[in-house]
Amino acid sequence: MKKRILSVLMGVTLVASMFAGCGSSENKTEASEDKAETATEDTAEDKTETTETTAAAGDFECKPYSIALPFPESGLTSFEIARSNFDLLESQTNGEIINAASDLTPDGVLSFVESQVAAGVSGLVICPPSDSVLPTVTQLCEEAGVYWGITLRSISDPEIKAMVEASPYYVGNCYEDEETAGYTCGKWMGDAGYKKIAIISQAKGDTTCDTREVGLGKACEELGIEIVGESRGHAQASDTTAATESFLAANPDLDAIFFVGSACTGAHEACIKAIQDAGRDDVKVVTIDFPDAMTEDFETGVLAYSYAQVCLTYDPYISIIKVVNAIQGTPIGDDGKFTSNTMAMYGIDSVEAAKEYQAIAGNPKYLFYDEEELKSFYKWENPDLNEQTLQEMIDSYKVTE
Amino acid sequence: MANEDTNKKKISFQVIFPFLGLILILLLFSILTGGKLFSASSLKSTMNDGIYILLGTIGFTLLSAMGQMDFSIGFNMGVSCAVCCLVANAVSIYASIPAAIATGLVIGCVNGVIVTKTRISPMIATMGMMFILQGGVLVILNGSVLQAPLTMMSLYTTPLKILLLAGGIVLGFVLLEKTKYGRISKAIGASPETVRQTGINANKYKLITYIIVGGICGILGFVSLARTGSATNSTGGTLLFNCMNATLLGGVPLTGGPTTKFRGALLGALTISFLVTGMTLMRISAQNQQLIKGIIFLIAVGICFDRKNLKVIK
Repeated sequence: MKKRILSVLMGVTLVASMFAGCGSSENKTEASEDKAETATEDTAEDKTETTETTAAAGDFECKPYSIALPFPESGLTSFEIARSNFDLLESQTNGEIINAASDLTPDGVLSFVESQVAAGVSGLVICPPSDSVLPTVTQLCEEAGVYWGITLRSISDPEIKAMVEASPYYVGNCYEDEETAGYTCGKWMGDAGYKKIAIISQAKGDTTCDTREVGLGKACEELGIEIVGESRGHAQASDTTAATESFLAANPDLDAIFFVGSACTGAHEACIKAIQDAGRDDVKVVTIDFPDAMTEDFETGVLAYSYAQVCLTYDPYISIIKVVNAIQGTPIGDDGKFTSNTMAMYGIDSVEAAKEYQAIAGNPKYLFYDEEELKSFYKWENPDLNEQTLQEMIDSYKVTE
Repeated sequence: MANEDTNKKKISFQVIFPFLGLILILLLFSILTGGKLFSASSLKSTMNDGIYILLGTIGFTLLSAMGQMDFSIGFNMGVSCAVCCLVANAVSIYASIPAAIATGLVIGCVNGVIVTKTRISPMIATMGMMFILQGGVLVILNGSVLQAPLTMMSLYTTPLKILLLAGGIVLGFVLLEKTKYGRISKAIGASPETVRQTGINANKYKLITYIIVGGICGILGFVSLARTGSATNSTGGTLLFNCMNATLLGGVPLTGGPTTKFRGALLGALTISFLVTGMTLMRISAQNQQLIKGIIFLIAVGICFDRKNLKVIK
């Protein structure tokens, strides 16, 4: 009897599943056709379309879209700021920006791309942990007709770079000049008289941190700074506490701990607390990327210098704008090609400067650009927008009220 | 008599629950996603993640059948992947396949020898191995990400995936349900002392199982490299939790014994794989996904956990 009930249940399920599948097939076909049409038009007739769109910029009607980003909302202020800005972008361009779950491992990135493509997104922005995942991402996005871009990273491997940049669905990347960032912080420490430092960084192979360390290495060589300890790949704040305690115990003459890069929430504060608990006021902290509690950290007197782009989520924001333009049939790059842009970075070294910055950028509702300014980032509104003009707009960006 | 009936009913529900769980998830998400759950791209995504979960769960179930455990499977996979990558770069991508499997087998063998010869609890022994491998992968990769030749990814084809999935299912089923090995494994799980008294060398079977599981980890290390083109210190990091979750969701008793069924591994792995895909398709946030997984896990364990086989704590 039970077997019969089970058989009936399974049968019902299969039938229901089939109907559910049938229900969507029409839509799916339509969607596929749409995408295929868009892809063909976008790649083959970009020039023509752009000209036409330019002529009709005033009454441009945005296609609905969805773009997934592999950064789940973390509660950090910078992510709340990102959401406020995404909301404005969504309302102006008829789209949806999804903060999706993903871990930033090679497997995690590929699962993210596959699952979001299956969910039917029209665009993706990824943050690859290594170049090797990019050929697969390129292939998956080409097959699905999904536009995609890279945030916070550049491509190091020349062979992979050529392969990715040849794809009509790749819109480009946004990244920081990481080597300069590492060098700038190293120089600041040298000028401040630091001679022995320890570094906290990501696991080797993380292109961002590796490049920052190249810049740091140059500054160290120039200014005679010695790196006496290093700790990598912290997953939680307690890892940072343990590393800091080890650095302090092993190096009585340590001058500073330098955060080359950390993806761990509360790491800066954990480090500062460990230094305070050890009574080592002579040891300072220097960071790339502004800590969430930067003002409080400066007030402790332990945080001495922080260097970062204007806002952590400004880079993904610009990357998303590139994808939106491509989806709407008006790619920013000339002739529909990808664009590569660097983000401006600057340093903060005092409580006052931190307060001034956080008074504005500490507000979760802070908008990078207001409604009118944002329109200049849409090629259908601003026909002069291209890689160079976009770079100029990024370079001239300042955190202001 | 009435008591016996109630017990029978309860056991029946325990048996049916994993089926119902899978059916419910398939039905629910296929309706909520408008059929997207069974779209080609969705099934492809489920299959790619499912390879790790399914093969890992099969290995985990073989161990569970005899009341054993291996906490090092994730990092075994990571080390195998790292060795695979080294060999792919230094020798050839084809030589990397046996290298990965051999690495997994050796680690599995060491686990088996430690557990059987030193009589250290499997949990402690394999946890120790987990820490060793965690450090080992950092040493092999020099703390970094190692990239394989781009041609490596040409090995990750659909026929290979199907072969691995089908082969895993068939071999797992035959091993556990149709062979002497399977029967003795379950007997060891039910009562190791009885098995010993019947003159069967239980340690030999345990050792073989640890080696098989090691081999599976080696294969998964190769699969990961062929899929992503790189070996990192985080490769295999989520394997243990996913496999343990799938094993329990499938109603496989961790205490082992005759109630261990292969179908449990299969159902649990499918449930987890479709659950994750379904939630992503539904665009459920990361935090809520964790919450849902946790609740389902607790409900499943509460219903399926085989309390009958729990030993009395003195």
